[in-house]
Amino acid sequence: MSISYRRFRDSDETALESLLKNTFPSFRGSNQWSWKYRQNPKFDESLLVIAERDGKLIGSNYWLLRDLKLSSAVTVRAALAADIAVYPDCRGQGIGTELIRFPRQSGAFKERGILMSYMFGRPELNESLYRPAAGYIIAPNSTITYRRHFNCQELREKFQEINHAINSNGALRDKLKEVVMCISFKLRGAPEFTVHIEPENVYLEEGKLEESEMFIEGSLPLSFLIFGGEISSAYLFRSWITGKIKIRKGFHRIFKLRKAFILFQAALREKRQH
Amino acid sequence: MNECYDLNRDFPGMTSKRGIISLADKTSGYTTRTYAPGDETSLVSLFNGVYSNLAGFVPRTTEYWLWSCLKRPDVDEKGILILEKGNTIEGYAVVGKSGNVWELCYAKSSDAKTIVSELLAWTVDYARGVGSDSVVLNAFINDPLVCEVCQEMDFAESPSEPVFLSVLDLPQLMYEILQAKNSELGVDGLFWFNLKECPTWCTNSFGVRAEKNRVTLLKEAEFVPKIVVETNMATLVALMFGRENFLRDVLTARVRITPFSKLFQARKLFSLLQNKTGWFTPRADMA
Repeated sequence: MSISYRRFRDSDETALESLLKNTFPSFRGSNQWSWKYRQNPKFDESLLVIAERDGKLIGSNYWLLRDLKLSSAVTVRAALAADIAVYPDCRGQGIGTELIRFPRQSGAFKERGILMSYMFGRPELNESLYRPAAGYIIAPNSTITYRRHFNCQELREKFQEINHAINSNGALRDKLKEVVMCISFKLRGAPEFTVHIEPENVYLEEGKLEESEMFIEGSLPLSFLIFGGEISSAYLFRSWITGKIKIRKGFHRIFKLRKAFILFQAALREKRQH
Repeated sequence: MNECYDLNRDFPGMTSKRGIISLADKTSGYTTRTYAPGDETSLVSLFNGVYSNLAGFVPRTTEYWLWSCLKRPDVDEKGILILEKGNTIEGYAVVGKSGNVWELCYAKSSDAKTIVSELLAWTVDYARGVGSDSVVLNAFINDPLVCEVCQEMDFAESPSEPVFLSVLDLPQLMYEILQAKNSELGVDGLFWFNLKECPTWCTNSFGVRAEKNRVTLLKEAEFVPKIVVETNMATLVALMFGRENFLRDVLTARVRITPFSKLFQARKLFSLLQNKTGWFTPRADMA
């Protein structure tokens, strides 16, 4: 069962849209596909790469053709890699690497005078995917993101994922019993919330709970708990040392907190692998 | 469409008590309204002017702006606030129902803080009113005004999504960069680049002739190189766009200059090639 790569054809549309909806939540329930691909004034079918096995579409990568400013005097033609998608049961076979390489090897980039390609990716994939596939480097970025949350919906969903991952893994479930506690947070740009860690359940509740064993306050963005799938205990400790967060209550439980965060991280990793 | 609008009428359920959007102190002479067809030309012009000294974004054309902002699935005309003084647009914000601030742009003026405050207050109201869970905005890291207003409005800051770059046609890219700096070249020499660990689709051997106010790309055998630069592709790209240091790379043998006596001439060339412009990506460009 060999995997082949080729440019997009109109007949791929339904299968491709289905893959994108399966992979990216933003494609569900909206006309994201139509806007991003078909309505894009620079949509170019030869920059949309399809991976297929036995005639079945299993992966895709879309390159958006655009001008990119490099300085006040230099603008070059570039391609932004977007939507690298592979069905979960086909991952780990080098399909992503080939999807990234295909327009380079096929000459599609050269024919269009594209000098650079770029993407917004995940740092942990740089050494395993981006760099070996096409020599990507991390560019210095002078962009900063500001966020303000009106509720804890996204975080609540993240904790539901954690809870599900823990409860479907016996080893993680056993570890949960060691970190039972209740932690309230008051972070910048978000409402107060409390994380309940119970022997068989982890969940989030909006609002501060007076009976919480720990209370953490600070300027840490809520996003550190939500985005990128990282709940890093190292980041938490660094933030505490640099004064970004203050532990107002339950300081002596800090090692238990660290253990809980390591457990959450393991649960998220487990979920990603599946 | 070219009118002020009422939050309670247009976004029922919105918690703001500000009512009709207009700057609190009308004495400032600013008025606000939502997008009207035809505004795109002025918006594009403002955007390109304000960010002209930065890199990392797509220079706006009307066609690109309409696609990346107005036609975006979560954006409609009510999500684009325009702030004017007289007939001049002084700032605007494009907000999606997802809470993403796809673009925020303001003219640098003595009233800039008022403009930014008004635009951001409106984006928060709008996002909350349409049921979004959050507001997310990208800004240039050295924009103290946006930073100050965001702090005042209880935004939390975090690093933006990392950008990964890959060069496809290195000789041509070098040429474009050097050509743009031809007036300040100040380097005279025949450089030959030998690149190791170069992907098959890249040229691994090429020459650059830098003269006063003139750069030429050269192919093999066209000349006898006076300065040979040997390195690998990743190091060279990192020297141009990353945080690599030329002298450190020479000392650690990641870059080899032959003859070594031409080190400072090569250093000058690399200094010209290095991208020192701040890299800023509005959310609209992240696709």
